[in-house]
Amino acid sequence: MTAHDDGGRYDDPFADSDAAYVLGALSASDRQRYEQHLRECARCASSVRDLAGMPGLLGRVHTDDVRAVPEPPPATQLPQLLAAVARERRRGRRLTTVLVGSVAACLLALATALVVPALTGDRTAGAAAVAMTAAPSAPIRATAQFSSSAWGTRIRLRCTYDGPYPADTYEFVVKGRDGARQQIATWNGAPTGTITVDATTSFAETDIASLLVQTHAGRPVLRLDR
Amino acid sequence: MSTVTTPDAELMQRLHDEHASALWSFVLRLTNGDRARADDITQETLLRAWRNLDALEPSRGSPRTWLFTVARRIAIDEWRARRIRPEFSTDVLPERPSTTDDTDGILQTWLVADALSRLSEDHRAALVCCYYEGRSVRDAASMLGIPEGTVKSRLHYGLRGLKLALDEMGVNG
Repeated sequence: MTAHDDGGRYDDPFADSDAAYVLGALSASDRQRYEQHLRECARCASSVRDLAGMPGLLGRVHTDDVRAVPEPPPATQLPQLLAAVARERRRGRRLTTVLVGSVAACLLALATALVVPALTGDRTAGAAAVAMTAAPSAPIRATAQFSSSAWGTRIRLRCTYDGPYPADTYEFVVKGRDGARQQIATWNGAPTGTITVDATTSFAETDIASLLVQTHAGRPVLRLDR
Repeated sequence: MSTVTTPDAELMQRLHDEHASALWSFVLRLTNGDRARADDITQETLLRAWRNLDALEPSRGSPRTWLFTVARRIAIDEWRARRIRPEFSTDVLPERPSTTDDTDGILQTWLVADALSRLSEDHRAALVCCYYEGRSVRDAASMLGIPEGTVKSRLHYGLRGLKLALDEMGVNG
């Protein structure tokens, strides 16, 4: 409030009534007189306009919260903060810590963004099925369909028997380019028809060197080299 | 406190003395009374303030607004992270906690409450009487034992002071 405004207050008996007016605390007769005054006094009219938004803001706060004695934060808080500050200082570079923190947060967000859709979504739809080579005596045709994920590769194997097939146990084996080998599915030979085997491996699709279907005894049945 | 020795610790101590109570009340409201979460959020906010002291320069706006805004952001990020983490139950719709869907409103409300708490006791009492309790100037005068003119004048200065504080905090009615 400037000296000029204060000077004005002494001349104007209504100068302090702006707040009481916008808060609706003036009696009916006072209000009438004040409204009459507002028509003649630009300064009071302008103060009322200034304060017009205040009741709305006050209304956002619940009465209990205005009266409430604020609860102090936990006593453990300051010691923990001081310990955190000392820790960060010992690590030295304040800036580095902040940057490393944000980079880690970004990586985490990225990983989450990649993993979540991979776990829930099915991306086999677009991938083409590749024919596997059957062993000379095996009456079977098969295709393999790859789909990549952040966690590895899903392989859908479709086998069609062309005739009676030995009731054996079959193993689906994937070999990595690094020579590692994983058995990713097993099943029993069915009399006829087509079976679909959905298997998954931790290998990335590009790291898979070959697929192999063999009997439990180790006799090769189907093969796909990549 | 004589245990504090380093300038960093001193800065944190000052931040805590000055803002922790207001921040705590606000964050407790954000977390719907969950004290453990409120403690985490309050501490993280004060640590960020300590790392970015420039942001608290009064020339860059109200420190309270900065702190409350940061706290609110941390609360929202934390809430989102908790929503995403259980990847294996994605068919179950996450509960939408009522604590964070109106955080902007809570922030504004809390800035007003904070500004009110910093008024003088006399000014606040006049505002409580006439606005929150709906009394006329005459009733307030007899209740507070002061002349009607004094009630008007306290309302006038109280409301002006509040408006100034809120303008500074970026809250406009």
